[in-house]
Amino acid sequence: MIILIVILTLILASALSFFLGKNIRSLEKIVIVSSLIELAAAGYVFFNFLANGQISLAPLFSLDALGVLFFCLIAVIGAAASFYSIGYLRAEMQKGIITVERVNIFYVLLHLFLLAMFTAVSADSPIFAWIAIEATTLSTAFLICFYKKPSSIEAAWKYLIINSVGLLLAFLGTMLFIALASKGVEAGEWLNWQSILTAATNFNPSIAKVAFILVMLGYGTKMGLVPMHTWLPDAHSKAPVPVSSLLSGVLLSVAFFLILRFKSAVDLAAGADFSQHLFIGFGVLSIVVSALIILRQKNYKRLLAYSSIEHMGIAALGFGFGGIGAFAALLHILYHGLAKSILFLSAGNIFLKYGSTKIKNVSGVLQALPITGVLFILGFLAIVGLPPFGIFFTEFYVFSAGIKTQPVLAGLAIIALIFVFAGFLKLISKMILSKKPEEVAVGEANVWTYVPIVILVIVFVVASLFLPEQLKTVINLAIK
Amino acid sequence: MTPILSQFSYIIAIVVFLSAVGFHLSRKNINLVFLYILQSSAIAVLLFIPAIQEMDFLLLLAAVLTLAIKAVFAPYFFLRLIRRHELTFTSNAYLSLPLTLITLALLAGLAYSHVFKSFVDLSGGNMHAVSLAIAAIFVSIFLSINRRGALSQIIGVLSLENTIVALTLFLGVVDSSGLDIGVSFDIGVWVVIAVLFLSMIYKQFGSLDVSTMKKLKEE
Amino acid sequence: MTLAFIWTIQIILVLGLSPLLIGIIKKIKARLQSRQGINLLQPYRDLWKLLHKDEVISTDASWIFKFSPYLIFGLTIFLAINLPVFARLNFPYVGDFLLVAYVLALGTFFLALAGLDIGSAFGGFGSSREMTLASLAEGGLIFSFLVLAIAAKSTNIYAIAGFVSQASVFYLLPIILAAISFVMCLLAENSRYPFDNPSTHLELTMVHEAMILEYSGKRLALIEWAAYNKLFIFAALAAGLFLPFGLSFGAGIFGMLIYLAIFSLKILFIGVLVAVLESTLAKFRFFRLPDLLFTAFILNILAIVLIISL
Repeated sequence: MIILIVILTLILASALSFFLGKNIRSLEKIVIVSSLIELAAAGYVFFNFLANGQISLAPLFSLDALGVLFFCLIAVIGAAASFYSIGYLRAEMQKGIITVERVNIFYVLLHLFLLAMFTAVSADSPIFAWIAIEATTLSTAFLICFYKKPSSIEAAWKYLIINSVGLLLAFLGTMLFIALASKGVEAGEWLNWQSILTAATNFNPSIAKVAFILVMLGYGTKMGLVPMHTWLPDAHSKAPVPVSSLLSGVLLSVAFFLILRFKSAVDLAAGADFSQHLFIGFGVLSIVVSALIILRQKNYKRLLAYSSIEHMGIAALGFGFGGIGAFAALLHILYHGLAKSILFLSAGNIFLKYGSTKIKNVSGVLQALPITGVLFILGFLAIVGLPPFGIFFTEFYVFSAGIKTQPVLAGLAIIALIFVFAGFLKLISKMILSKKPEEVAVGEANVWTYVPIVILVIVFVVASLFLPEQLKTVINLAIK
Repeated sequence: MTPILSQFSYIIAIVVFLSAVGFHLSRKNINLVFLYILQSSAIAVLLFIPAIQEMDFLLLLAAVLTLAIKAVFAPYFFLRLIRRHELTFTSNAYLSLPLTLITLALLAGLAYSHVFKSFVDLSGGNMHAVSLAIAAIFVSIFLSINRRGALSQIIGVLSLENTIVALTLFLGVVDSSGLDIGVSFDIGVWVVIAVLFLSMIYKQFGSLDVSTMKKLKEE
Repeated sequence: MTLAFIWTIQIILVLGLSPLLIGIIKKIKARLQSRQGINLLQPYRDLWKLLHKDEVISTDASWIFKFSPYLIFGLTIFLAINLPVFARLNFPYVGDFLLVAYVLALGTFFLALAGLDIGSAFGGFGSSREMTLASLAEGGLIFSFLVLAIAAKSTNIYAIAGFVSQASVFYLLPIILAAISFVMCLLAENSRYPFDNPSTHLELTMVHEAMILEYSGKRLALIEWAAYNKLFIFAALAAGLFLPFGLSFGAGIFGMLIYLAIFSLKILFIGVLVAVLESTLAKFRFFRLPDLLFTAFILNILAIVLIISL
């Protein structure tokens, strides 16, 4: 029931935004209301799940433990990004970078994007989830080329083509799983995740392996695993900042969510070793490649995008190692969503002030934008994995799970993380802690641009220091 | 799977495969669109068979919708785009024609090799059609990779979708109509968005050749 | 039915009907160009005219120049008895496709030599172009036969024809690919569009015509007739190997007549196909032709891959 409310809210929000055209105030009000509804729904879903177990609205939607976690993630970061975008777009309209029609399109597509992501995590059938993920590709394609510059059009085109090919491979993998699962079932029955799991023990192992590889390649493209990541830095850096934070923090995680669903099935069919080796392989590759590139980055938005690839690699590695690593990986996904959003939204403020995404054009942020500067430093400390922030603990657990079984690879990953730290430190020292140039005025754009980030930081710090018991229960349930 | 049905499936698989190879050999954009219409019609025929056999209205609706979107709606958009910007000839490929053909032969060999034998076991009576569909999938992916023209890349992705649908039908996956309708709508929206992108690219860069888009190489 | 009787019939068929086939092709091409076109029997009259003319032979000519026309014509007569006209009857001595391919190559070889023999520039470049095309087309031709031979597990043309007539539908794709490639090689070897213009007057665009530029009178008649025979032989091979219908009649006189009728229809169909292809394709520039022939070759490789995995 509650899921339907969220879905209808978003559909309504998108349609209303489309028809309200030029009236910015109403558009913003719609955004605020729908974000609040989403947050309320997420809270309700979470506590309802703790009390009653799986929430389901047959035959299309159902939320189990894993779904509940991601549902809340989407709601929280979605709300923060929506609130932030109000301020961001106001500031850009003031500067004359965009027109009212563009703002309208932005809000319409934003609601559709959030709708698609909510549908993907609460969908009960793998095909329905696939259609939802394809819908995210379609809705974000125009958001990426929002500024209509040649480089953003090129980034959006690369995004569209690479993701479409990848999603079609994932479609083939999904259909193979359905083919395997429908061997003992009559025609016309709508297969959902549960029935795939129950039939999984009878799957032909080699076909299940091929199907999982296809799913891994396909949804891995969406998630940003190396070597399917080539679209990610371009797309995430050319998109407007609220969209970037949603793409980096949430969409990558949603893609990983779908891979995890299939992982449960293939583990039953072919043993847990197969998927774990795949995860470890892709994970280490992603971490190492992105770490090396971060050192040489000259554009801070691209650097943040590569950092997302790296963190997705760590999450994959966590599931590859298993045990405590899986718990840590899920927690890591949640923390990363929060921390990356903090960084991206602060980067948006920097862009508003300085007008350039190149590192060499930005200096003295701490003096020009005091609040943003502090927030950015906090985000940096968080994302790099320094205590007492949560990511330190999750990375620690992931690697401790791995040191026993795969010491070389774990060591390699740790060294890569040191490179990442160095790269970020270079960024901070050049941009934030340096001296401010004369012509740059002091002061934030408007209150909407920093309050959401502050709230995110507060949530993050609280979650790092006091991990609530309920959250632990849900996560443990999620790791079947 | 009766023998007649498996032979018929094989003939459809031949049409799909030859269209995919034909994409590589065509030098004019209009030929690409016509081959795509041919391929989509073959897939639609495949969807009509179970619909007529079981007299299920929803399946019939799904088949008609697929035919409408893929064989009428999408080509109409493409032809309008071609006529408006006068994009007669496709851009070149990265590999020359002989090398392209050698790669196609190698991909077909890969599809028929023992690597994919397990698929054949899953299929039951349709083994030749399944292997041919796998070969067609590789050829479509190669089309997206090899061609420089943005329209060719789009046709490659659409052809990939066609061949994947063909493969799943040959493997005997039970087809629920809601699934088909959802996927068809999805493809329809995708085509609209892709054509809008093509217009945007042409207006910005002056040609559909992807190698002119070098603005991202500032690293 | 004695062997000699059958062979005589086949030879008369090839020699007699090949100018008619050329006449039909020219007529169809003309009609497609909205012209009236020549009379269907005109090629016979042309051969008759040439046979009664005087010859002029250059003083630089050697025995190759004088001898080649007879050799080439004789080879086409030899090929006539190799054709699967009456495919039902299995002949023990002839009908190996490698033999056919290489006899054709022998004819081309001597034609090229004859073009070089006089020492004129036109003959020289005609021969070099012809050799380029022939060497590439040979691969396509032999592999096109090879596809069918691997499927039928024999290199005998009659056995192949018998196999194709009852092959299951799963052989359809490789046979289609081999047929496309065979048609490309047919156009190449017989100097048709898009490889060559058989009626051009411009020396710079000639391939086949350039080699025979110096011939006149009787020898020219023999060479022209040999070219007509070559096209007829290719058409008969295509009809027998790729269109093996109507083979289910008995070996008596009545069955043979019916089969001849069906055979003529098949040859007619191939003639129409060649005419339509020639009318719709433009002549390619020379440097694009190796790509085209290579395409034919690769289509055959693709067909072989498909056959092996069946």
